[in-house]
Amino acid sequence: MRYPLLRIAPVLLALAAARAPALRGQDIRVHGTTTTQYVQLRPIAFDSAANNDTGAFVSLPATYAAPFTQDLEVSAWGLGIEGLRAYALVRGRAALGSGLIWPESDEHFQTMYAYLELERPHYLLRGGRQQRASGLGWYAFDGLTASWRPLAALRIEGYGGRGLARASLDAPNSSAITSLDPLQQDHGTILLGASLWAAPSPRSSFSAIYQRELLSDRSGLVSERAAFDGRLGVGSRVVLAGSADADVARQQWGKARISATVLLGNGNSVQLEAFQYRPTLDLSTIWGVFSPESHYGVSATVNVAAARDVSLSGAFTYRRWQPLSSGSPFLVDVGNDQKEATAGVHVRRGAYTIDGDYHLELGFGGDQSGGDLRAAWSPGGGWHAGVQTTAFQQTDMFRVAGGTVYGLGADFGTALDRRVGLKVDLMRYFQRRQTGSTGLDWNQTRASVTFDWTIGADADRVGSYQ
Amino acid sequence: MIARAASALLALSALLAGAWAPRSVRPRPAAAARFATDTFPHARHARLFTTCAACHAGIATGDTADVWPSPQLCAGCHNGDLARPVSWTPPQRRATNLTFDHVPHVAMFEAMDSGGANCQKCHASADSLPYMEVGRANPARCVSCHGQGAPSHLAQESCQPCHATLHDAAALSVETIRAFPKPPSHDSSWILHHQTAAAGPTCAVCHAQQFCAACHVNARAVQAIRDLPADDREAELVRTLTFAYPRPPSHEASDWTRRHGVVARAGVVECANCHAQESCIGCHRVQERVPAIAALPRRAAGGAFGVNLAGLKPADHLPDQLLHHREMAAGGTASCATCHRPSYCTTCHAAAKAPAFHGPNFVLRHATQAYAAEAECAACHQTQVFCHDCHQALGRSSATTPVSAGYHDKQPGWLFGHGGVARRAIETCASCHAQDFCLRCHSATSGQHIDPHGAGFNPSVASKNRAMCLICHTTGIPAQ
Repeated sequence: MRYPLLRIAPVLLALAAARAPALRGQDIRVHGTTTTQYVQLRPIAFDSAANNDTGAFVSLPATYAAPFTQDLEVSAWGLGIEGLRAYALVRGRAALGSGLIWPESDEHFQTMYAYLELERPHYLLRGGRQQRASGLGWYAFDGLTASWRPLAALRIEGYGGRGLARASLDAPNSSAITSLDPLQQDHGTILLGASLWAAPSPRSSFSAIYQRELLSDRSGLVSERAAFDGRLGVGSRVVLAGSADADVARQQWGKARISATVLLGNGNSVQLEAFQYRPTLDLSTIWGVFSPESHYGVSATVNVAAARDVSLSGAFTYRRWQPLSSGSPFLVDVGNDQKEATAGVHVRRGAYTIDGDYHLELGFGGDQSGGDLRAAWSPGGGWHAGVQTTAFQQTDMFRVAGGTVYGLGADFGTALDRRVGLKVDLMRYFQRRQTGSTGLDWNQTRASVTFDWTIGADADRVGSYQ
Repeated sequence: MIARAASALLALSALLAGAWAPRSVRPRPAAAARFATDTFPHARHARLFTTCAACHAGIATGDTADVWPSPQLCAGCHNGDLARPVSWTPPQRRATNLTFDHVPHVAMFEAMDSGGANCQKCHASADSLPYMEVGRANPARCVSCHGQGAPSHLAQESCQPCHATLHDAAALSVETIRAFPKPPSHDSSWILHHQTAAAGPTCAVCHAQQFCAACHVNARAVQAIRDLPADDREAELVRTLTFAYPRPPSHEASDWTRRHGVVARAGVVECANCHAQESCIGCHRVQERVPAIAALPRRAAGGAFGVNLAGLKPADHLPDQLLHHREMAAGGTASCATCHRPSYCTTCHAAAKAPAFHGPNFVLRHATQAYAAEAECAACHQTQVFCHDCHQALGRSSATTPVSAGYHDKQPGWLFGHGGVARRAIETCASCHAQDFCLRCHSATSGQHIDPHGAGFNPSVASKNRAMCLICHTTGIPAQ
C-alpha cells in the first residue's frame, strides 16, 4: 500500500459529495456491480514417469476458482464550481474458497479511476487516477490531463503522471508483477503524452498521439510510441478507416490497418480490410530483442439483412507470415498462413431471438472449428431467459491436446427494479477426447451471478447502465 | 264524466289533426335524424298543444318542477281508451358542463318579439320550420350567435361563458369527458402550435392539469399548465390514452442530430416540453458532462415519459463494432465519452468476467487466437499479471520443468526450432515464460551464449535503455 491516500480517495470523494450542501444541479450517482464466478479448470503437471518414462504433462483433478468482484462507481457533480465533477470506479476482489487462484484475485482492492474533472466549454482538466484508451492500447496513470478545445471538432490534449504497467492498474515495479518475473524492472515509470483529435465532419475524424514512458529515475525509456487513426466518410455510404502505430524507439511500425466499409442501408454492409501486425514490446523487457516479425492479412466482412427479422453475417480473414527464419527443419507442419472464416445468423421475432454462428480457423497456431447456438426470450422490463449450446473441436499445432467439447447452458436475467438487476448463467462442458495422449480433460462447469444496482441520480436508460 | 268525455274529444281531435296534417309538416328524414335524441314526437302533438308552455311552463319561469309535463297529463289521453297507454316519466337532469340558463334567453326573445315561437329559435334546425318541429337544442344554432367569429355581438372568444370548466362540472363521468367532441381547431397540426391558444381559459373546459402533464415533462414549470386545476377523472382518462410526440419541423433537418447541441446550449426551455433528461441519456450517457441535459427536468413517477430516444445508435456502429472500434476510440474522451462513461469501457477492457465477444469457454479456445494474434491480447491484458499468473497456477508454465521436456510435445524438435515461432508470436512465449527462462540459453555471458537477435534487430535501442541490454551483456554492450 504505497499510496494509501490514492486508495481511499474515492471514499473521501463520495463522503465529500454527500456532506456538501446541496447546490443547484448537484447530484450523485452510485452504481455497484457484484460478480461471482465459478470456473472449473484442470491444472496439469509434469510427470517424469509418464509416456514410457520420457515424461509428459498429465491432468490433475479438477479444481475451481470462484472469483468475487465488487465494482463501485461513484459520480458526483454540481460541487459548487460549474463543470466540476468527481468520478471514481473502484474494484474489490476476493477468491471465495477456491483451491485455484484466479488472475488478480489476490489484488483485494484496486482503484480503476479516481479523478476530479473540471470541464468548461473550451477546456478540460482532469487530475487523479485515469485510464487512457487510444491507438496505443490501454494505459493507466496517476496524473493530470489537460484538454483544450478551440473548436468543437478540434481537441488538443496533454497528459502525464506516474505510469502504471500497460493494460494494468499495477505499477511496473509492484510485487504483483515482479513476483512473476524476477527480471522485471525495479523502477516505476513516468508517462507523458500528447494527442490531437479533429473531426472535420460528423463521419470523419482523425487523431494522432505520441506517448513516452520513462523510468522514474530517468535512466532509460520504457517505450516511445506514436499512433495515427482516421475515419473518413465518403458520401453517406462509405467509410474509409485507417490506423497505424509506430514503435518510435525501435523505429518500426507496429500494427496497421486500412479498411473500407460500404453501408448499403437497411442493415446491409460490406467491409474490406488489409492489416499488418507486429507487437510493440517495452524496452524494459528482453522480449523485443528477439526481433518479432510482422504478419499481414486481408479480410472481408458482409452483413446482410435477409428479411425484416433476419440478419446474416459472414467474414473471411487470411493471414500470412514470413517463412520461418530459424530452426524450420525441426518444426512440423507449421505453415506460413492462417485462414479464418465465420458465419452468423440473427433472428428476432417479437420477444424471441435466435443467434447462431460458426467459426473455422486453419493454419498457424492450430485448427479450430466451433459453433454456438443461442435462443433467448426477452419479454422486456429487463427480463430474459436463454439457452445456449456450443461445440468446438480443436487441434493445437505445438502440443498433443486435441479434442471435441460440447457445452450446454442457460442464462437468466431479471430487473428486480428499474435500478436493480440480476443475471445468472451456467454452462457445462463435456469432452469427447480425440487424441489427448497426455490425458488433458476438458469436462468442466462454469457459472456466474451478477448483481447490479444504482442509487442516486437517474442512472441511464432502463436496463442498460453503460 | 264530462271531464273524461272532454279529454276523449280532445285526444280524438288531436289524433285526427295529426292524421290529416299536410305531408309538408311531417318531420323530414334529415330533421328527424338531427333530432334523433329527442324521442318525443312533438310534431304529432302540434294541434293539441298550441304553446310550448302548455307542457314546459317552468322553462320561462325557472321553476324546475314545471320544466317537464307530468305523467298524469299524458295519461289524460294515453289511457288505453282514447290512445294507447304510454309510460313516461320526466327525465333526470343530465350531467352537463353547460351553464346555459333558459330564463334570460326566453325573456330576451320575448323582448325582441321577433315573431314566431321563441323556442324554435334554438330547438328547431331552422327558423322556417313549422311550429313544434323541434327537438333537443341544436348546438349549431348556439354557435351561430355565440361561437368564435360569429357575426353577432353575442359572439364569444372562449367556451367558458356557456361551458363550465371540467373542474366545476364535477358530475361528468370519465366516459362523458372521453366523448367530448374534438373542436375543429384541434387538427393534425394543432399539437405543434397549441401553445399560443393555451394562454387563454378555454382549455380548462375540457382539460385538466393531468392531460397536459401526460406529455409535458416540464408540466410543473409551465404556467399555463399550473393554472389548470387538477382533476382525478382526467388522470384516470389519460392512463388509458396513448400519446405520440410530434416531430417539430426543426427536427426534420438532415443535420439536426449534429446541430441540436447548439440549440440546446442556447436554452432548453422549449426542449423541456417533450424531453426529459432520460431522453438525452439514450445517447449522451454522461449526463453530468452536458449542462444542457442537467437543466432538463427528470422523468417523474406518474409523469410524462418524454420522448423516448433509447436505442438510437450512430449509423456507423456496425454489428461488429465491438471488434472494430479502434479508430473511433482513438479520440479518447473526444468522441466516445459523449455517450459512454468509463465504466462502459471497463465492462470489456477490465471486465470482472469474460466479455461476450470472446464467446463461450474462451479459456479453452484462446490458444489458437493468441498464436495468430487475431487481437492484441496485451491491449487489455497485462502479460505477467493476467496470462502468466493463470498459466503458472494451472501448471502450464512451471519454472521447474526441464527445458528439454516438453509441453510442446507435438513438435519433437521444438527446442531447436522454437526460434521462428517465437519471432512470429513472442507474446505467447511471454504468457508462460518469465524472462529469465530464455536467458538459460540466450545470453552473451551465460548459458549457451545463443544470440537472440534476429534480422530486423535495431542495436540503437541500447541507447534508449541500457539496463535492459546489460541483463545479457553484463560485461559491456558491444559497439554498434
